[in-house]
Amino acid sequence: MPSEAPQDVAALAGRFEAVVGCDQVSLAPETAVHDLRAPAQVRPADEQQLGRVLALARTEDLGVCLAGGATKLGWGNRARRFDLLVSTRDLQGFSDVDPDNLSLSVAAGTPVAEARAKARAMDRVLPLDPGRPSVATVGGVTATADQGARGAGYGGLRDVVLGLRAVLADGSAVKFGGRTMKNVTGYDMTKLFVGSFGVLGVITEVTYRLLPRPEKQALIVLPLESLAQGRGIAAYVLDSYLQPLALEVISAGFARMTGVAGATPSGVVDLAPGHGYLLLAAFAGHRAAVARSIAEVRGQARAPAAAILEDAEAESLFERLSEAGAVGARSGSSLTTRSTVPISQVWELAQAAETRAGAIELPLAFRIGAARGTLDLYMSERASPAPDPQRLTTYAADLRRDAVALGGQLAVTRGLAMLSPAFDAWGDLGASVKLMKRLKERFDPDGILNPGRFVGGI
Amino acid sequence: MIATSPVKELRAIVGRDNVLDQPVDLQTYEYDAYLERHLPRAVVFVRSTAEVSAVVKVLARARIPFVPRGCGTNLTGGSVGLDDAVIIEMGLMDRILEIDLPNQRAVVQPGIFNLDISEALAPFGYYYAPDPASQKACSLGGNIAENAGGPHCFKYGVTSNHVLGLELVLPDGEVVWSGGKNVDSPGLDLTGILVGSEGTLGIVTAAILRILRKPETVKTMLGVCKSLEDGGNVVSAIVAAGLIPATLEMMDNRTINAVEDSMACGFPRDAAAVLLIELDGLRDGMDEMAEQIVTICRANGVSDVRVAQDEAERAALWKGRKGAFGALSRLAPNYMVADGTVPRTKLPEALRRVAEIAGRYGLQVASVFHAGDGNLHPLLLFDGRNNGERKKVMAASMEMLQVCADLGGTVSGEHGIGVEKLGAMHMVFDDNDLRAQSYVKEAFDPQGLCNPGKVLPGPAAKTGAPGPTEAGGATGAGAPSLTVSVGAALGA
Amino acid sequence: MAAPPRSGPPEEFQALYDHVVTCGKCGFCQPTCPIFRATGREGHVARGKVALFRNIIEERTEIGPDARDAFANCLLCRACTENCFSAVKTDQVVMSFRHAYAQRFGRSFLQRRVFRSLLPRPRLMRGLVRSVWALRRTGLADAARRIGLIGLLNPKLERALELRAGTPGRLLHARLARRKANRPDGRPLVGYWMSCGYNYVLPDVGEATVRVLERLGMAVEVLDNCCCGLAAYGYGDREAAAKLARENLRRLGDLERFDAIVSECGSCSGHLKEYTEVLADDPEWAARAALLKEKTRSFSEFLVEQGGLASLLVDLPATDGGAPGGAAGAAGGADRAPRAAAETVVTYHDPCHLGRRYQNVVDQPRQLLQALPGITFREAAESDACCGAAGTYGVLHPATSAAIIERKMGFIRDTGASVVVTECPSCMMQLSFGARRAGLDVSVQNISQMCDSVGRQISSE
Repeated sequence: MPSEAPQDVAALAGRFEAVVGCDQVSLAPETAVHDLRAPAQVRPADEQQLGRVLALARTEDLGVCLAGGATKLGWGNRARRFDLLVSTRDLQGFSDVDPDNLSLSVAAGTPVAEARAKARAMDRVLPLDPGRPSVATVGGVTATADQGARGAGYGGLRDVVLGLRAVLADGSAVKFGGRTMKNVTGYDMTKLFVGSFGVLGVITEVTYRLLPRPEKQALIVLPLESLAQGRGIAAYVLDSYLQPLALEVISAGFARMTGVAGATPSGVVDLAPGHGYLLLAAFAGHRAAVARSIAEVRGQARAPAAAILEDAEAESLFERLSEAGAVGARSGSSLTTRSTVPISQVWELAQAAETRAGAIELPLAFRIGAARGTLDLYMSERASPAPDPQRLTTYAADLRRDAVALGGQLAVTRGLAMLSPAFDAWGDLGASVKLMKRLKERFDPDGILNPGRFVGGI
Repeated sequence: MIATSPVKELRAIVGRDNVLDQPVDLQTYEYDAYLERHLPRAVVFVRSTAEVSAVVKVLARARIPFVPRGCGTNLTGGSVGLDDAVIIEMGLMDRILEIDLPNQRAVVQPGIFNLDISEALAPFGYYYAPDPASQKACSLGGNIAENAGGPHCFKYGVTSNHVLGLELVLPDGEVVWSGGKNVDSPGLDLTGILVGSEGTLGIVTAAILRILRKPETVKTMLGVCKSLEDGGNVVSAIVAAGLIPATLEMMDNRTINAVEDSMACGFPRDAAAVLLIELDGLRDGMDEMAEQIVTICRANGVSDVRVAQDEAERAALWKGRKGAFGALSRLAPNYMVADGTVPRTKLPEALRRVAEIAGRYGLQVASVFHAGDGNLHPLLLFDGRNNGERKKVMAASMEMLQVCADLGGTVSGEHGIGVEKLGAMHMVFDDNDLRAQSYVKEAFDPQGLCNPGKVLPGPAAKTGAPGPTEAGGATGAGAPSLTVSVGAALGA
Repeated sequence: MAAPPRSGPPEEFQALYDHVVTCGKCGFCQPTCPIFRATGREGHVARGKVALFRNIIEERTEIGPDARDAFANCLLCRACTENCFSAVKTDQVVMSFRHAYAQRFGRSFLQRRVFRSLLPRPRLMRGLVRSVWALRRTGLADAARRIGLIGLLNPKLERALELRAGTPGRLLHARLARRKANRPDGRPLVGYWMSCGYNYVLPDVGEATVRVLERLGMAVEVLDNCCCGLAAYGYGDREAAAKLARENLRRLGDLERFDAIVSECGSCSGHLKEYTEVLADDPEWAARAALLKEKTRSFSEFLVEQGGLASLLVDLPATDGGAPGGAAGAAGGADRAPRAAAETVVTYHDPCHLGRRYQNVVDQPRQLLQALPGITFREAAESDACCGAAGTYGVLHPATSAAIIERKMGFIRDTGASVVVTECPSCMMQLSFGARRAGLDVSVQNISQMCDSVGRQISSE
């Protein structure tokens, strides 16, 4: 809750207006971080302004939360203090556009979809596949390492970022990495900032590696009778010579939620009883290699029905997958989590999620990233009566224990407010958190950036 | 110079014979593959994480700096001990602890030779992708310290893309794990910052690696280029056509002639460069893609293209590239391998300016370079006994790095900063950048004991009083044994 | 006793200075050095030895007992040189150090008594060896070993005892002495070189070799040679090696009468071919050394030159194709003998002095093995890596030597072979020791014994 008196807020806003201009400062912004709102929001127009904003915030000892497209504010814990919202939306544009050398530098506030379109126009692929790409910004996606289905082929964010620029808590601007894949010049600060959730500094520009545009892209949709069947096919694919671009197993609920079922040619894929899951396998490259890959996957399934989507159709199916988070947002009363476990263990976790949800009659939709060991859960608590934080918390805690026992973790990505206040969004990540705290202390000694939002209370 | 007390304590931990402190023995640990020599205070051979932790605790308490060392093949002085450091030799910790096929991971100790990892995985049809040219002689720990690359990194990335977790002994002796077998764990990417940290943030005692299924097919081609631009255009056209070769290696005219002198590979002596290309992946479409590349070559003035039809022909095409360093070493008593990166399209210009610099210093230079990612290795030839020549070589090398920086690249592609390039950091970083990097050093190593004097120019800022050494839990001792889990994957 | 040690680098090191500075410190020697693989010590690998050698020349350190350990730990296998971009000849560096060290600090007992006094006198050697075996037959030594007494006193002695279980019976020299002397009858004359290893420890091998040579149609004269001198040469005792070389050339007499001098010991055949280097400073003997080099053949080298196995079997009656190995006599010869269903798996170990880095007799033994009926040949990984015996090395550095052979046994195990074949007595003893230690049921045979067994097998049908 805003604790400052109205005249202090106005004075504060005035000081920021002096830095960024009146239009860029607004009071009582709508954007909430969990159930908290800041009294004011600032939108710096460029990196320099951002630097001065942060320097001023530091002087004023304000708790600052960051937002790009505001698509992932549901991640992480509540801010320990939330005095100012800094938006990166106005940091837009491209620099260092180098299709020949396969690199592209993008300002942090640029929506991912725009950056992808830029690459496509040059016959290249930007290897990002986050949730809600038309709204999510490259800065936010990089700071949360939000990679989706095509991470199987692209790798994670840490594998595609070549360099970045950032502004630190003291307002100073820094650059890390560069534009080349081969780079061992000093510490790999780029890796440190990818997924750093804004707690070390604010990313202002990211340089990504580009991929050549593949000749062909195709995706096969297979109805599955059971999770076990999906597991078997996935294990086969992962041990074979095939190189999937994406390898997902989604529940019927997820397919309905995202409209994936409807996107496939009708009559081919039918989520009738007895077929509770879909397997999606995508490949890209030379058309003969893609054709062989699709055929080989198909040969692993005994059911005759399968849908094969190519190029633009495949692309639109990926769009639907990436909108899963948006659907959840619209329903208003959902809890979503993201887990990563060792690849072969994700099936057990998904089974546990299903079984536990069934036991308490909790509607559950999920997707499994079979090549990377990721599991995204979407739980829609019934709108009425009022959601029961206790049973949801128990569910989440049990599942987190399962994930940890399997060698992974579970993080809440939406709906933290539906759980007991003591429930940590990230969980206990072990002894290495101590080192993370030490890093935070060096970069942001006053703790003004996303205070308390990250792991270990950082 | 030798403090007897720590030596006695160290001997109590690792055994009498596993601590060297006699001058003659120390002289064999004063160098690595770079040009500088620094006599260490002692050398300690360790065999387990518990021993590393105990040794580091002793040294931290006594405020004695230390340097983790693998095989000492580092090319920038990363493995030499400055400030009277104690060398902690990790080479005896060389086991594979676990091969986990269903999760596509291997857990290994850092002292293992890089190539030994892939050789152990071969019977299962898997391999470890990062393959620096020195892979048979360098340790995985060294690869991690330097974020080693290799000819296949254009397609497969570098070491950091294949290391998912690390067991680390911190500079105060505490043992922690970062990362794990899963990807994208929340939190700061400590594994990511440790890879490439050149042994200055702690000592890696185990690593969780990503392992890959071997490709079904490999197709190798060699093109003879009349000019460097032609070679560069070929690479651009290949990328534009949507192809991602696994390897793109080039050698310049000087190197070609040295190779022909020493082993007769059939390269025309007036060729500006030879371009070695490898595709790998599924058999389907491979022949067509190779044809496509041949067409691209011919369309760009590279008319002499050879395509290997079998393993023997493939070996013949690689022979020249593999023998390049040996061939060049015949031209002068010594050579220094410089290492810089430029955006690939700037390679011809970079090489021109490199040649100009060498000419100005009166040095012979020949270059081998990774055409796909713009990483170039000019080899400067000289006689190491001649102090004047050594100075010229180091000065010329610095100028070449400046060229790389000016052309939008960077001053270290895969060999690290070490000692050699401390002076080059300012070519690409300003004071703010370097200060941010020093935060990392301070967070991990507040006392500044771990491989001092490397990576960051100038003394790392020290916080006030050093923290007390924490009594952390060390992992159990005892000989690690190999477990291989094959799991349901192969039987499903 | 030698004069008190002089100071400063030995003059003879200068000759190698320009060579050793070409070491670029790349470290590629490390994975190929069997000692480094076992101990992980920089001083034990080429790069470290070369660095110390150079430091001595540049007076950053002194030649002395402190440096000795590094130079004692070398198998002279040349694996480092083969993998070195500058092809630094570390074996020469090591031998130069050993020689200079002895000059300056005095010769060891081994050098004074054994190399110089004992080895040039074969009769004396035989007498001594017979006494040693007699002593062993009393069982005292083995009893002492079993209760751990020997190991307590001296692990080297224990290791020496381990190299051969039991005693060999009559020495080879005595066994072959009973053969009828060869009259000149038009057959080619082969001089059979008496290797110390077979003579004193593994006489069965020598008997097999002579049988095969005779079956090949050769007239065999058993030479009255003394030790070839490799042990002394590798030790750095050039003077003793030269003395032995001259003594042998004297004993061999007129070399022209021989078509070949053959030895089934890779070290002996290799060293005989090196007599030109050993006697490089001795013009009087140089011509005879050159002639010896021309005449010398390793056993497998000679056999393949003479036509391989086919020439062994050509006189034997053809049998029907059904019996194992029976079709060997049929048209097409032994090279296409049908394989029986349950065949013996055999692998091969390259003795250093026979291998690629010395005589380069590498294909010939494999050709012979692959032509043998009833066996399947499988190549072991690192088949060309030194076994770790290296003359006296195995006895003087038992722990490291054991680690080296352990690695090799792992690769042999991987082939599934029940027989490992080689062409050197030292290797044979080391392989047997390694197999026993690893609990591996593998028999060690010389290539001549394998060829001998073929002939026996067929002639018995």
